[in-house]
Amino acid sequence: MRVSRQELLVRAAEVVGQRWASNDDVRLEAYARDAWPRVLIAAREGLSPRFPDIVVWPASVDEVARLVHLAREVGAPVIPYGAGSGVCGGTYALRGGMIVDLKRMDQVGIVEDGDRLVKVGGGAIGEHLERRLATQGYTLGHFPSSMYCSTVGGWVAARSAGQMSSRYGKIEDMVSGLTFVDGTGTIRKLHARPRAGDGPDLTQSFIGSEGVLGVLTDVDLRVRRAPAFRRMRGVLMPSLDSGIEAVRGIFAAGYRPAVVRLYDPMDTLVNKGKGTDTGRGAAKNLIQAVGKMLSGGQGGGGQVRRLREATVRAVVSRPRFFGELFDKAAGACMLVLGTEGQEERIVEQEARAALDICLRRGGVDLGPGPGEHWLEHRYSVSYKLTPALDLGLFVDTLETATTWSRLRGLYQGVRQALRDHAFVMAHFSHAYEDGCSIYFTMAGFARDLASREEAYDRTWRAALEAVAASGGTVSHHHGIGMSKQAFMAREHGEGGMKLLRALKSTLDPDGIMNPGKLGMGAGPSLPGEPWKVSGDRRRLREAA
Amino acid sequence: MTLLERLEILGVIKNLGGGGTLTIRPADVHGVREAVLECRKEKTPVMVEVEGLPPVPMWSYREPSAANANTAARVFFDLGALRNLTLDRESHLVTAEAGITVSDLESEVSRRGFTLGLHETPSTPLGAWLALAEPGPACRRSSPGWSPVAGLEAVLHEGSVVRTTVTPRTATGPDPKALLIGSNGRLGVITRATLRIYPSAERKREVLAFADAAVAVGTVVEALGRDLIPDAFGLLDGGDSETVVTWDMHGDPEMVAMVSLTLEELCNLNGGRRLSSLAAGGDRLTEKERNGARSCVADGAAGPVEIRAAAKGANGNGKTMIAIGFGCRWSRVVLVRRALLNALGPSARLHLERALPEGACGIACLPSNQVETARTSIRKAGGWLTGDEGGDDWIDGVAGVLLGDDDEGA
Ligand SMILES: Cc1cc2nc3c(=O)[nH]c(=O)nc-3n(C[C@H](O)[C@H](O)[C@H](O)COP(=O)(O)OP(=O)(O)OC[C@H]3O[C@@H](n4cnc5c(N)ncnc54)[C@H](O)[C@@H]3O)c2cc1C
Repeated sequence: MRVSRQELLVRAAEVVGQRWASNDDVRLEAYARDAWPRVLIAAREGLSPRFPDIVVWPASVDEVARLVHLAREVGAPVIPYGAGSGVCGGTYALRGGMIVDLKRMDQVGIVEDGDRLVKVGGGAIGEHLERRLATQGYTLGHFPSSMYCSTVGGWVAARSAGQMSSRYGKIEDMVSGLTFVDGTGTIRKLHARPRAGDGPDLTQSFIGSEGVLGVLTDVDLRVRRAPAFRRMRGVLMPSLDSGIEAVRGIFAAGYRPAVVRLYDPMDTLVNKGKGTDTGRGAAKNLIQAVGKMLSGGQGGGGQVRRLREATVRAVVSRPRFFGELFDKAAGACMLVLGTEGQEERIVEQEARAALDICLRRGGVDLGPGPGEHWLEHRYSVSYKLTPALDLGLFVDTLETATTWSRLRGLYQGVRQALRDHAFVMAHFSHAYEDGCSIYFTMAGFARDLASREEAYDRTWRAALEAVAASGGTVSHHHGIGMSKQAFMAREHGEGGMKLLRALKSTLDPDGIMNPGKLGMGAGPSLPGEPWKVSGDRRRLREAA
Repeated sequence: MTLLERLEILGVIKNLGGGGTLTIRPADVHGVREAVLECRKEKTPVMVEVEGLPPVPMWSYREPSAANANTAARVFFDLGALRNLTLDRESHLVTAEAGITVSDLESEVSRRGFTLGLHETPSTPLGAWLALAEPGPACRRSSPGWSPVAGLEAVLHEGSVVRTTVTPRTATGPDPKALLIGSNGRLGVITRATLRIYPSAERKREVLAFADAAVAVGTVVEALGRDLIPDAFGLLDGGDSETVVTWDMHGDPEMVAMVSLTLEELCNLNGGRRLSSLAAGGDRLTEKERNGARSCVADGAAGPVEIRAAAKGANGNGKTMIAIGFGCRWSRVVLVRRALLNALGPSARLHLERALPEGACGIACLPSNQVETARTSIRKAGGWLTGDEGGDDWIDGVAGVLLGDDDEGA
């Protein structure tokens, strides 16, 4: 950067107003990380990555353009920021610079019924958007678990997926047009138009760019009328294989249930087994104790709690032994199905047909209860990592996808690769006609921070190697950020990376947009490396 | 060794002679890569030849390196030898090399009980079809992020290979496929693609007629709002006589029956009439439908797949009619139609061939001497024309960077 932090602040304040630019250390610390567990582990020990130089909150696309012009002039990196719920280190200010928080740009337009498109500011929080749409009788149909703490811009930037993606699609299926400011400060509009084989698809060439091509300022989203009817169902499948076959059968027949969640035997025991005969004896209780801890539950006081914590630590630190034990105890798999729509008879027919397909493969109908229970609690997961971190655990999730023909190989490949590293469970929650995603939860343990970080990195490396070797994609919806960038070339081929880098050079010739991410240009390439490379980790106390 | 000699080793099959023009027929992606690398050394423009069509300059060195390029020489890549094909039945995917034509591919998959489900299946080789912009599916599964292509392989200017992971969806950055498809081969030679396919099932078609085009459009919008999404669709503008809507569905018969019923109810509610409900396939409207609709298109009225062809041959008041592609949001369809009628008179027609939730794509049929007036009217009324999408500056930029690398590398 060619100016001091102070000068950058003063110049940025000229654009957005003094109130909306800050280099206050408390703020900088808050914006120094997202929700990447690799860094949350260290944060528990009072360590923070490098701080950005300033944070700004623009209110319009023109302000964003002027900020990018300024950044270009002084050589400051620009890091677009939604709500910081990303789990791959996408918002780290690896080389300092300016965090551009979009949350003031949160307008939600009016839907014209004929077109069912709505213009939304890049900084709109998901839950606010849904509420505003609901008052007009619409839904976007995008419900990530981070609904309350993520933005539309972040979704589009990271190719997010909601819990009902099987019916409504991922976010890239909803974006009809968008506006962004590229790395030269130019405002670019990609108009909302149905595709008609009309040249390259620029919208899809921008979506997923995680801030490295520009700052997304607004999006035209395709919305649907809010569903008038919904049917939820739980089915217990005799095995994972029969569950996978049932889900594939549903999609092959052309049905699109909104909710399809197949839990592997372990995940079924941990989370969904209550009240159902899904496993046997002591192993079942043990797994449920681990599950409770991993999903943030503390419960019980004093001795009971300490006993449970010791048990969890013991289990997680011997993943191979307990994994094999639990595999023997594990039984059936829970499948949650939900259909919804405008026409009652069509919703019913879809629900009936999907259930039939499951029953034909040996499923046992559990009625609407499990589905409704899931619906009610669908956001009450994932946020409460702290108890697990305090125990010396690391917990993270890997979301991959592949074709149906490779799905079992991918599932087994990852489990096999992780058996010495982490306790693993999985569910299959975004299904398509040609394949499905798998969402692995991995938990490991190590006594001190350094070995925990090492164990974390080892676990990830093993998992991603297995994914790539099995032909899966290294991310279905969390994105790449810093954490998976070493695998980008495996994903797209060397040529694919050349193309993407050429696109970056076209839109961001000075390389100021979110440098060091997505495999674009120099940057740490493996989990853990940011610290070794930059040596910038600092104690919060020192920073303050 | 000369370029010719080196390429001969790689499999030059024809030397068309004159101006150093060569046609080579690589056996596989490695052959394409090797040949591209040789051409790169010589800075020779690379073109891809489409068998049976005049050679299309699918990839040529453009202005940026014109100074260095050996402009007299051209190497045509005939990809006719790349014809391998594998079917993944379980995942409903077919992987095919670039030399197989789309129509042959459709025949191949249909022999195995599947269809590509495309709007049209031309006899263009797959690679060329993708490079020139695949037109996407008629409607089914259509969403902004959906593409018939699940994976792609291509060789770039400087010989590196793009090979995207075949996956239903991914979150691994911008999609390189989206850049390559439709960029007229300016970034590289597409050598292989994995396409989504569907089990061929009996198709059912509802044919509905409405006295008024605006009511027909309103009914379609309402149907889409109720999540009734057709597999293929057509709206045939009847001018002063009836407008016909065709709505194709396939899949589970019980589900199709329910969608049919709901459509019929909607149609009745809006004063339309159901002309027929056909279980048979076939794209052409039957004689009965055509008569029932009191001739919605001039001679040669056809279903959605053939509208274009029919329109081209049609005659409007003794003038040759031509078709231009357009698109617009639903709220603009009627405005665009009115604008066209005002500007061009009663012989103009606006047929829709894709019904997407956020808008329609179709063709305007008009006398050939009125194209410019039509274009202006469509844009003024809020529609856009095929080709308006732009993207040239992105592709030029990317090609320029790749060529720049190339210059440095060479
Ligand atoms: C508890 C929890 C549950 C989660 N559940 C899901 C889930 O169900 N599905 C899912 O897909 N993800 C989920 N995530 C991950 C995360 O919520 C998504 O990746 C989300 O898309 C990030 O949005 P954000 O606004 O927080 O973006 P941020 O974290 O702020 O940014 C993410 C990336 O996008 C870039 N970016 C952000 N805004 C813009 C913009 N306007 N223009 C350009 N680039 C921008 C950033 O630079 C960064 O690279 C979850 C995360 C948590 C913590």
